[in-house]
Amino acid sequence: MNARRLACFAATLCGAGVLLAAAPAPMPRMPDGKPDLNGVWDNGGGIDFLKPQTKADGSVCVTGCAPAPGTAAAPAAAPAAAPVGTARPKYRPELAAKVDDLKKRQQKEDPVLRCQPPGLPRIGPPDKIVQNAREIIFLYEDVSGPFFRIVPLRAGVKRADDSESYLGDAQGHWEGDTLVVETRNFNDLTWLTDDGAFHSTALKVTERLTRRGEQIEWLARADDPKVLAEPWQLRPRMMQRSDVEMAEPAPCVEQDLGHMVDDSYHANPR
Amino acid sequence: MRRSRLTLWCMTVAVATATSLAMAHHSLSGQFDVSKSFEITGVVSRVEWVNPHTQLFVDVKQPNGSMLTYKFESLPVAMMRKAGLSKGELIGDGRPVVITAYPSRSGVPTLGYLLHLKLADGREIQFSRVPGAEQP
Repeated sequence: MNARRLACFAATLCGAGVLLAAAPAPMPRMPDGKPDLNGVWDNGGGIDFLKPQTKADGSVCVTGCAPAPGTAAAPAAAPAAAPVGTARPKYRPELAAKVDDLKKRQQKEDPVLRCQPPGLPRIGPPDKIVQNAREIIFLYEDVSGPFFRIVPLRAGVKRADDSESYLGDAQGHWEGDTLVVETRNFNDLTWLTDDGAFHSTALKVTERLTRRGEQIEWLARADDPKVLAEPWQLRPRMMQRSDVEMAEPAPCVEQDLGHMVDDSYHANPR
Repeated sequence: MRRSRLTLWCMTVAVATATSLAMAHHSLSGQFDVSKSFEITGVVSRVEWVNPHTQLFVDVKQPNGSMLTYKFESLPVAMMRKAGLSKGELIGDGRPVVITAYPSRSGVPTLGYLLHLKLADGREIQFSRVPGAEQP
């Protein structure tokens, strides 16, 4: 092999190496060939924004901290694409007054502010997923407490008590590499989000989970033709793989309402 | 460390407005005077590790020698955990700590919202920004 051929061969090998390095990691799959969604996931909401700081002397700053040394302000982001989904649902015109009234009385009426279950889709993406070929379990570490949902992948699975419930009856199936979870049979004791966003027992929530590398894209849609003017497509959330195991949520013990001096509240879209 | 949707119920107003994903809660300003703060020194006697607000009880010695227990609301458990704080760390070692807090608007002088804690060993924990103070 002369020098020119050797150089060409080496360049080819290097090029192949670069291509291999740049190729996306293969989709982790279960023995049945379905995408592997198992694991603990930061769910792209709640306190993800929190960036606590620990100083050299052990002091801690949780919120309201000055930027850490060496963390320059982020450069201006490129213009984002038009957002998919909206923060709040759109109600039928005849129900606008009811929503407005509940919004004004959120302090007293919002179930979450009284430690009640958040319901769907307000609870957001799961914090942990346990998966096998027959069913998928969603686990949640919520401020209102621990919650779980069982998502059967085969039809006809019945609960011992099929009453309307806070988190409804889920049924899952795969569309290609996307897990689709359709949930019905809700009670009407939860809100879709804050600001008086009530729903009826006709609510149906459809979630679509698609694994993309070390993330899962979570899309959700709420259909409730009795009260909503149109189906509500939530803004997408990206679940990020975490190596920190779920902790047992602390109990929720409401201790505020007794010393509120007015009805103020702050935004809670989740 | 891991987050969790565990909300953020009791975020400070500033933090709450900083994120559209803030979880919700009653407004702090509906319970506490967020334009003022007060400082006391006492011994942490109990911590309730509960949501939506952890609760810190602090025994404060009065001029006549009696003990008065203050109750301070603070951040939800998930935020404490994310900052690496534990119930045991907040309970401390029985030595006096210096508390800075928002006062209650309800007229209860022994109720407050915990903003800052200075431990006997000199370490400090800022839970929320203290009005008028420099950011640490």
